[in-house]
Amino acid sequence: MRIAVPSSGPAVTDPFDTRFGRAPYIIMVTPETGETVSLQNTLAAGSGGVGPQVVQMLVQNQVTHLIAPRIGGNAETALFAAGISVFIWEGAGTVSDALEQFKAGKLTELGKNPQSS
Amino acid sequence: MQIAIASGKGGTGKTTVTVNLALALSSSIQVTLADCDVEEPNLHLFFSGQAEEEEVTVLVPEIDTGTCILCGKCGQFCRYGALIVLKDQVLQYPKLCHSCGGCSMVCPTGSISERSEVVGVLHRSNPEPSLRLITGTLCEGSIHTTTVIRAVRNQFNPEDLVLLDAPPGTACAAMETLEGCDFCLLVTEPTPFGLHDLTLIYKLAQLYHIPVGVVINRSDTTDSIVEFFCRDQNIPILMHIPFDRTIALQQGSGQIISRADPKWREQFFKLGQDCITLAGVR
Repeated sequence: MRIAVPSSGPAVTDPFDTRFGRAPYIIMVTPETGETVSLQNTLAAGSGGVGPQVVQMLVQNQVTHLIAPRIGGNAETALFAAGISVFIWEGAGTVSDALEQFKAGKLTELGKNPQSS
Repeated sequence: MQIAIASGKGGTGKTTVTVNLALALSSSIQVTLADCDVEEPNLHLFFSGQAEEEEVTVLVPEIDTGTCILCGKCGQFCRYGALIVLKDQVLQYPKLCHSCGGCSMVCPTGSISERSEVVGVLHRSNPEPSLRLITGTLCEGSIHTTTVIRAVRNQFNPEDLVLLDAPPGTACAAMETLEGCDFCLLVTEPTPFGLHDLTLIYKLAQLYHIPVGVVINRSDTTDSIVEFFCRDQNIPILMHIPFDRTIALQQGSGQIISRADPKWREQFFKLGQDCITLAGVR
């Protein structure tokens, strides 16, 4: 499992970003090993089609899960085709907070019924 | 000769001026009327007659999945996200494609060919004996505004007198319409918003070295707001259209005021002559 989280900064203590494709950083965490990788989102300033391009980047980085506040239509198609599970968190907090919510099973998977706790 | 009717601000009366100008001039000259507001064309509402259609197309990639090795080069190249290379497939978003053709050039296996995608429609009709109407209509959701405007422009003959109804604003679509025109008639209203956007479209016309004239629509007691600017910039004011209920009612019900009223026909004919004269000064 490799979880991607849009972030306003390079650390897990930075705020969870409320945008997916245009977040300045994407932080990737592998819970099994505890490995954390921070990826600067060079696509964030693109003129269009940013969502699908970020999905392409996630695929190249072996991401399997994504926590995001909301997802645009084009990105959603790409995430579904790539087999990446999307978990929606609309709350505010840090990247760590988002990961805690996910691990506690409190987030709803996109296209599925709410996670049973 | 090409005369654009533009405004910067929307809703100032471009269409009113354009249809009246076209009708008045076509009484003695062959006129081509071009609706370049392809996102919301409306000139056809004022004329009847059967139109012939022609599709406007662009080229988008088509991938041969048999020979594609999923190397990812096309997906890396496309800055618009129209091609997304995943582990087991290439996802395509034709609506995001800008038709640059780069993906087929970077593909190492020659797996990308190009196919046509419809982005708009041209309508051609002859609603009056000496009037030809060309309307460009962009397909809903398409980004190819300028492509459709260019397709409208490609219908002109060099000897034609063409009136181009420009889209509002000063972005790409307005630029595509203005470029190459001999004169630009700026329709404005005497309000602070009208003046603000008149200033913007005037700057755009200057950028292309196109001579301009102004029509003040909904002319009322506040005309001085525009008149001061025009005097300052040495822009001729060629017509005032009063803020008048009868005009609004006629226009709103799809009638053309110079068809019913010979006085207006005369005034618009003179406006057309003024435009042609001022264009010649160039």
